[in-house]
Amino acid sequence: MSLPLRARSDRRGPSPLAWAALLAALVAIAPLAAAVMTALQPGAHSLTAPTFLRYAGASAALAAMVAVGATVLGAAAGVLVGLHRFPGRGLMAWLLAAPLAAPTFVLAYGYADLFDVAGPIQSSLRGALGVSPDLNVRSLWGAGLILSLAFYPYVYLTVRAALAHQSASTLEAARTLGATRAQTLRRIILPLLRPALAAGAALAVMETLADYGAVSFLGVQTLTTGVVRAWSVFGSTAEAARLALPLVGAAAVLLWIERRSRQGRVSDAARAKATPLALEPLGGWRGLAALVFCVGLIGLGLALPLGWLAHQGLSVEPDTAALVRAGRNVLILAVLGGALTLGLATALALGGRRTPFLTRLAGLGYATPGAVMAVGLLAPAGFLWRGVEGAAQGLGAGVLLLVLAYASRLTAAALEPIGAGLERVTPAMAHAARSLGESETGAALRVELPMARGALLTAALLVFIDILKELPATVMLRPFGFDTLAVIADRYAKDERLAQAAWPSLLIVLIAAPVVIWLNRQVSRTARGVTQ
Amino acid sequence: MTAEVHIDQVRKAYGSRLAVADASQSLAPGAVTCLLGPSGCGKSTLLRLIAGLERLDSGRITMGGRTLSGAGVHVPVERRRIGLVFQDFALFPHLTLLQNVAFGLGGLARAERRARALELLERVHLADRANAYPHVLSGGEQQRVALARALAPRPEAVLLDEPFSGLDGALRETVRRAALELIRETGAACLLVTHDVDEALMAADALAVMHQGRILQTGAPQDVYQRPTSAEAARLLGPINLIPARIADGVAFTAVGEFPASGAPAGAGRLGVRPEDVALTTGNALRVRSVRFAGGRWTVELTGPDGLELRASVTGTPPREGETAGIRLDPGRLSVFGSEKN
Amino acid sequence: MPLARLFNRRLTIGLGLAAMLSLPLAACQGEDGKRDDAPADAGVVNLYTARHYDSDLQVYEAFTEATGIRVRRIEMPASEMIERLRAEGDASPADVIVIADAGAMGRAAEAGLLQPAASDDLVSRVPQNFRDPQNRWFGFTRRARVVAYDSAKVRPEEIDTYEELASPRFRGKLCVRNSDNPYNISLLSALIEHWGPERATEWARGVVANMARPPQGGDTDQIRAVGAGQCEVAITNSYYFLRMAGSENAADREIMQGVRLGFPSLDGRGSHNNVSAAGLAANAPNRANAIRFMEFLTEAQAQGVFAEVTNEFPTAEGAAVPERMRDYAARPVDPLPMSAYGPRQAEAQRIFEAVGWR
Repeated sequence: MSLPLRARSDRRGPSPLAWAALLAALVAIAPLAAAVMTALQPGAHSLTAPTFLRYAGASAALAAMVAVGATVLGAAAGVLVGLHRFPGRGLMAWLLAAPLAAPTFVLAYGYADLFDVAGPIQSSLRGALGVSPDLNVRSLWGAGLILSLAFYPYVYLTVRAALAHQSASTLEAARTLGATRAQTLRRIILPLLRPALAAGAALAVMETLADYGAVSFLGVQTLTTGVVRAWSVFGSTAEAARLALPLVGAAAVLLWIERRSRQGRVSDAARAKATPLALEPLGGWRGLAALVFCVGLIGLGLALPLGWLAHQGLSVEPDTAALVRAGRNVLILAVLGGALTLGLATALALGGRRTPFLTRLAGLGYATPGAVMAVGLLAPAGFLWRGVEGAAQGLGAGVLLLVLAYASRLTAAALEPIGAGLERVTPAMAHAARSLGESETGAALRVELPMARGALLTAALLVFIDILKELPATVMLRPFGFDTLAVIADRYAKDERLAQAAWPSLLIVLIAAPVVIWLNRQVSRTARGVTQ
Repeated sequence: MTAEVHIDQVRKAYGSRLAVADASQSLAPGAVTCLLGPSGCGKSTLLRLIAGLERLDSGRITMGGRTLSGAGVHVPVERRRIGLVFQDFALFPHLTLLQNVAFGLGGLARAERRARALELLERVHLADRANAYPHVLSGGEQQRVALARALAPRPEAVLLDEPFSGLDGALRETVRRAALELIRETGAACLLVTHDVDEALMAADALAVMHQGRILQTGAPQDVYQRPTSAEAARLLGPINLIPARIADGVAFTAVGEFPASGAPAGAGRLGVRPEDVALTTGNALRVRSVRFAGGRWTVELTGPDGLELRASVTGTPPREGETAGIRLDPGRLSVFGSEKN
Repeated sequence: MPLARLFNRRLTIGLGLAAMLSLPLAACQGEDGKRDDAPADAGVVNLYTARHYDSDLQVYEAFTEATGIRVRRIEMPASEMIERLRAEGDASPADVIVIADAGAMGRAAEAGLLQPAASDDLVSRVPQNFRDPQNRWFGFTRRARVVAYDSAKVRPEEIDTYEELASPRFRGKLCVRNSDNPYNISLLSALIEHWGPERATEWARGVVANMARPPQGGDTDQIRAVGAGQCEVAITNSYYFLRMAGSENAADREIMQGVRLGFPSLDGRGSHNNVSAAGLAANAPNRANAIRFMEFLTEAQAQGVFAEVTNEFPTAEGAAVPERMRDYAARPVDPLPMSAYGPRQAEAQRIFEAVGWR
């Protein structure tokens, strides 16, 4: 029974976990590193300063609009559902996250067509009033509105989670001290929610800066446009990458904000055992107004644009065989990509604990704009293509490359919930496992990961949805004959055939919606203190 | 199976803060050594150093003659064969009781593993709930599982970090007695870290008192209690009167009288005496400032010349506030310390 | 420790599921449902195409039927394609590159991604101005960049030159898409070539002054805007107009009433045209098949499909044109060789930026 005590040198090498974390960080950071290296290469400056400023200004304006829009909408929805009881609340709580299932480019297709000067809304207004108001969503305002509607669920979800960790006694104390309901909201709830709002807004802005499909479809010229233009017209990848650097810088700042606000949440989680918040009943017209607000939000964020697309789609015969093939392809990619991303993110979460810099660096991949990602992915991909016999030919190698590309883009996204899940596992758990004879890696695999399995599942599903919607990397790196639903939708949209684009778009939403609703339920369940 | 653990001149600093300062201590097999000290004194750090959760800066920790830590050696936690019981028990919530207890039995065949785990659960009277999950158990039951889990792999030493502090009142004492009995039976060396004086005095076979990273005194509990070697050690074990004294020729001269102090170095010093060792007499050297009932005894606060303040814990009829009183000290219960500056 | 113990059961099931889903991968099913692992010399052509039309799928099928050579394809925008080809380098599997803009095709040629295709058929069939002087690429369909106009407000003679589009006659009455669009860039490139940069800049400035709204949407949206009365004239590619005019969608036909297609002329020589071109990839592993494929694109059958399905004009000499577009296809074409567009692209983009054509 007695095992020999083997003494090891004090200067031990890094554990297998640390090596895995390093590998994961390398995968996650490779495209960004390649983009930065490209930017450092000499190349003609083809864009004039005013043009650059115009792009940067549009990007900043768009980001600001989405930050405000998504925060206001998401916070209102989150506070309504998280603190009040009104008719239909249960259903609304589920559905309010549903717009996450729709790729932004799909919302853009729907809205652009609906509000086109020759579209149904302007046409009927013209018919009724004789004049046609300028309701143009193909503009900065339109893009800001559409992206706000698309991204408010990030704020909604972080607010719901934060409210779940607040204790009722805080609010009760405020009320006993004479604060009215409105004062309590302003003086207690909103300040308490500030970290959650900052985190949600940061996510929404990062997604806005990274957006590729919607903004370009709407013809809003942002830094991303500049990147594409520098690249495609001036043929200068270096210039494109240079243009991208401000975007990456912005992403770094946002990540820092997000991380800081999450530090606040840890202490919240520590007192999770406090009395949960009681729901304030909203009767009469107030309840109705709350319901109308939620229905309106879901309607504008999902039902209206999708309904119109569906209506358009019904007028054409879908290419069913191609859609089925694309659906199968994207499912394969999403499952494989999800598995790899989850593995890498887990390795990073576990092995990177002693080197937070590694994790932070990898986080930048998430906020790297799609077009920059495209520039950056090609260099590492080129190594594979040129270095491995047949890699540029084969289906397997092509799929592997895509899956790696997704992993590098999404590892940071998966890191978020996994890190939070592991934080809830106390160090004593790992120490207990190690004192019982497990190595660091063994303790992680046998104790910490099983305990955080809810978080792992959440992460996997988030990645799954993101891969369903992914466009730039898929377009550029996919192997022969391997279309995804998003690629088909994009192709039809570029060919200005929206009715045909409707079918793959709706299929994406159909696949993603149940997953999003399930994820939202997870948040609600955590909100009620159910852990597993 | 059993081995003595030696802690020799162990030092650990975090930055400029010295957490453990040259601590030395031995843990005897089959005996419970209590490490007592206020929070932040370094006792948990010392436990973590022994467990291998931290690396020491200098010194040496050996078990059965084999070096665990020190001199370029750091045996990883998982190879030390030291059992750990945590304050919050750290039971794995995703595993049943049986799986929890069997967790550290990886080296055994499946059937043996199960048998050994069941045997341990039997010992802590939880065999009938082997397939339950930890969250359905009470605090005391969880504690028992945690102990069974730590003992299952037959560790050579067991370290307990405030393991009973989460339990209350009567339960706490019962659980503790049963737990320590079980550990003593296994013959493993046992270190119990606690900040609870009563617990330390009652549970310990040997008591070590720790303060600001140093182990001040080690010995049998009553020895340490009654004959503390320093004022700090004395204070850690409960209230004590410190009376300034001038020592010469084996006699301590104080404001309240002269007392034998054989062997103490001459010069300024302090006389230590516990309140229950102060008997009140009729006299007028001191004045009674307050009298409070303390459940079976009376706590009497006295003031004397030169700002002297004394506390006595007495039975019987107490004096009334404002009266004058004298004191008698049991010479056998007196300790002589150096002056405060030492 | 046995590996299985590392994972709980659910994780194992998940991995199993992933393995099952990846089975179709192992079977290596290609786009056409046939096995992809046949040897290259048994008949494959690898196509990178920036086109995205249904007509092309029909043409690929017809090609496979006629020759037994299977078509493997990847569709992606021209700029991404050029960068991918660069990254792939010698290892690139691409045989044929198809880009729907002579300007971008010229950039691909300039980047050394193409090689001359020795085919007498191609050279004899495709007129000189529709192909690369070194025969690295050949235009196989042609589209005119012209205007859709509101016949109630605009007389045809008011839009018979490009200069008129920049004239005060159309102040606030013109719709056009943004300057990211390759068709606009190639149009301005051609104007620079003809008029020199200064006059081209003046023209672009005039167009910007005439815009009824900030540039937005695609060509179809510009045509719709004419139909809806937001503008009187819109710059568009011919096939978008033809597609909408022949649309099965009642709303589209309704909006097209009164919208006509006009053909401005460049200095009396004809209207500005562009081509979809096919080029022979520099490292084409299936060179013979690639040339065969490029030839097929210019043969009568394919030319017919492009015209019928996508409403593009044929480029091959003597190819048949469907009745409904015969009149349009016969309009004179600016004889400027399209290979001239490529080198002017960056200059054109700079002019767009200078005059505020977003």
